[in-house]
Formats: sequence, C-alpha cells, structure tokens
Amino acid sequence: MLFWHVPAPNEALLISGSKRRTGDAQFRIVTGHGCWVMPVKQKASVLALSLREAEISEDCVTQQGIRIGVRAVAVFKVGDDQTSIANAARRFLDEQATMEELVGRIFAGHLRSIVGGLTVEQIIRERDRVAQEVKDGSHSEMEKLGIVVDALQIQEIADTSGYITNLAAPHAAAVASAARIAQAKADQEATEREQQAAALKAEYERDTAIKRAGFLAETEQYQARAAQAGPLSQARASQEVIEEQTALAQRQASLAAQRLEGEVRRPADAEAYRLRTLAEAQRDQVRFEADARAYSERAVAQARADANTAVAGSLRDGNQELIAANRTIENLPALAKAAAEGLSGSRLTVLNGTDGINEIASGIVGEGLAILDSLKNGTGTSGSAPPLADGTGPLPQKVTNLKRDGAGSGSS
Amino acid sequence: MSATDDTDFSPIGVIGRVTVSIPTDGPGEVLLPVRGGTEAFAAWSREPIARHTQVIVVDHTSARSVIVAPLPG
Repeated sequence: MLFWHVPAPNEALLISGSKRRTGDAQFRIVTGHGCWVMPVKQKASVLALSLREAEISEDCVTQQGIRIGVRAVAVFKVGDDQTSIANAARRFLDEQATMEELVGRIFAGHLRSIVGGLTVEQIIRERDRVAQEVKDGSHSEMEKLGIVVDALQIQEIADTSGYITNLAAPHAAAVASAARIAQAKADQEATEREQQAAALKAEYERDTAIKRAGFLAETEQYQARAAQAGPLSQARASQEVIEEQTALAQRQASLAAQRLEGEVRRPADAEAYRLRTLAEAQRDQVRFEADARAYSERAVAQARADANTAVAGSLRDGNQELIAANRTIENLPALAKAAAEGLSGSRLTVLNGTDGINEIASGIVGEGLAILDSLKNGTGTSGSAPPLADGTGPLPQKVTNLKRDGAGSGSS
Repeated sequence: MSATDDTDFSPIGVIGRVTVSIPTDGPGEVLLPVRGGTEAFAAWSREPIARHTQVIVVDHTSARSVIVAPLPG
C-alpha cells in the first residue's frame, strides 16, 4: 500500500511529524508492525538494525609496552531497545552507508585502550579476559552511540618487535632440537638398520655363493663322473674281457697240460713202468738164476763133501759100494748144470713172484734131492748105515739140513 | 498502540546467563531473554561471577547496562 509502511524484522521505522510519540522522543519508533504514514504531514525513515562489521588495523602497545600491530574485526549492531535506536538514529540515520567506517574509527581508539590493558600472552591465550577488556573499554562509549558490540575478533597480531618470536624461541628451539635429536636418532637407527641389512645381505650373499659353488662343484663332480663313466665302463669291460681271456688261456694251458699228461706222461709212465717191471723181472730172473746156480753149486759142493765124507768113510770102512755112488755124485754137477741150463734157456714170465720162483727152485732142488735119495736108497741096502765120521747121525738128516739151508738162501 | 511496549522494556527480574565473567570493578556480559530473543547487556555485580552462571537482574542503570546478582539456590 502507498501509505501503510511495514518495517522488516531487522529495521526500525522512524516516523517524524507524528503526534503520538514514544516518551519524550521527537519521533515515533516503530518496530515489528506496520503503521500509517500520512503523506506531506509525516516522514518515515528506516534505520537498519542488522549486524555490521568494522575492520580495524591499529598499532597498539600492550601492558608490557610492547608494540604490536593488531588487525581486528568488530561486529556490532544498533541496539534493539528504544534508547539505542533513538541514539543511533540521531547519529547515523544519514550516515548508514559509512556507519562501519565511523564505528571502526571510533573503535580503533578503544582497541588501543583494550590492548593497553592486556599483555601479549593474555591477548594470545585469554579470550575471556579480552572480552572483559572490550566490554570495559568500549561499552559506555558505544552505548552513547546506541551501538551494541557483539564481538571483537582479533584476526592478526603483527609481531613488529619480534617479541612473540622471541617468546616462542625457546620452545621453538627446544622443539627444533628435539626434532633434530629425533631426526638424528632416526637417522642413526636407520643407518644401523641399513648396516645390519647390508651385513645380513652380505651374509646371505656369501651363503648363496657358497651354496652355489657347492652345487657347481657337485654338478661338475657328477659331470666328471658321467664323463668318466664311459671310459671307466669301457676299461672295466676290457678288463673283464682280459680276465676272461686269461681264464681261457689258463684253461687252455691246463687243457694242454692235461693233454700232455694224458698223451705223453701217462704213456711214458706206462712205458717206464713196463720197462721197470721188465728190468725187475730180468733182475729177479738173473738173481734167481744166480741163486739157483749158487744153490746147485752149493748142493754139488755139499754132495761132493758128503761123497768125500762117504768116500773117506768107505775108505776107512772099506766100503766098496760107495765108490760107485761116488761116481754118480761126481756126475751130479753135470746133472744140475743140465737142469740149470734148461731153466735159463726157457723164457718164462713169472706171474707168481718169488714164491713161484722158490717153488720152481725147490722143485728143481727137489728133483736133485730125489735123485740123491734114489742114490742113497740104491746104496743103503742093509738099512744099518755105518755112522759117519763126525758121528752126528745118518746121512739123510744131513741132506735135510742142506735142503733147509738151500731153502733159506732161496727165500732171501 | 503498543509501540511503547516493545521498546520500553525493563529487564529487571529477568534471569539470564553470564557470557563474559563479571569482575568486581568492571563490566561483564549477560545474555538476557528480551523481546522474543536474547540480547547481551553489560553487567555489573558486587561480587565476581564466573561464566555460564545463572544470574538475576536486580537493576538496570542504562539502556544496555544492568546490575545482576547470582541466582540463589
């Protein structure tokens, strides 16, 4: 509507020329609802109650006399109560655009007093203390202008004198040294670990190299063995061949020896045996012949002796009959010789050893004796033979003795 | 009209909360529920009052200044 004015929630409508006034104010303040404004007669102005901010940058000196550059933001608004609106309207109604600047300038002075009441440490650390100082330094002044300061935010403190830097220096140095120490420790540890790792690596490399060399050696050994295997087996095979050949040669030699034995030695042995046997036979024959001869001779001699004895006896006794016997006995050697010749002339193979020979010999001798006995029987007719010169006994006994002697010589 | 009602408002008896601790010699700040919202008033007290303490307004010296006392109990 044309004459119905409604202020926004953050505005105050100031109507001058109105008859109805709030208190003793020269104008009517309307907030929160609309009202009629008579044209010509009344004039309505709007005062914004919204939040404003003023940036302040100021060189300040703290309680300790340290110069710092402070950049702050003051957040303020026109108070909502009637007094504040009236005060602000009277001062800023035409200057609403430059209100921030104006308030900022005013507040810069307050900022000096605020900072002057604080130490740097408090400014940095104690918000409550700063707020107290803001209240203390600016409240009454701002109330005159109808302004409520909501907050003062110190955005930056320029450390022109280096105080804050120096304040921080010990801590910074301590921190830096701690950092350096930590860094050094870390470096040391890292180096240690690296060295350990390098040592371990070297160790492992050594082990690997040793193992590799071992494997290589083994491989080469096996390869060498494999390479040798051919010649070795060949050598073995040739050795076996040689052994076999040797065995064969040995067997051949033994065969030859056996053959030699069978073909040469045995026949030779047999021949030798034959010859030896023959020689033995001949020897025996000769011996037997000699024996026979000796025996016959001995018998002849004995017979002669007996004959002589008999002759002597007969000569002594004058026995004529013995003379005839004597003649016969004289002929005995010839008989025996004839018998011996008969033996030597015959080529006989004796199969019965010496016994056979003995038998023969005894046979021959027996023949001779039989002849002798016949002679005796022929001579001894009376039966009472005269005793011999030695007086031992009759003749036949003597003959028997002789026979016994002959047999003993024959068997030797 | 109730034009005076919303501007002529007395905060006496209102219970608020301290937002900036009140020293003995200087003002602190209390947040008081007025005109449907909350507004910050400069506050004085006989004894120092810490932040976040409930206080009751016993007097107001100017439009934006009040005297408070700690809420008993």
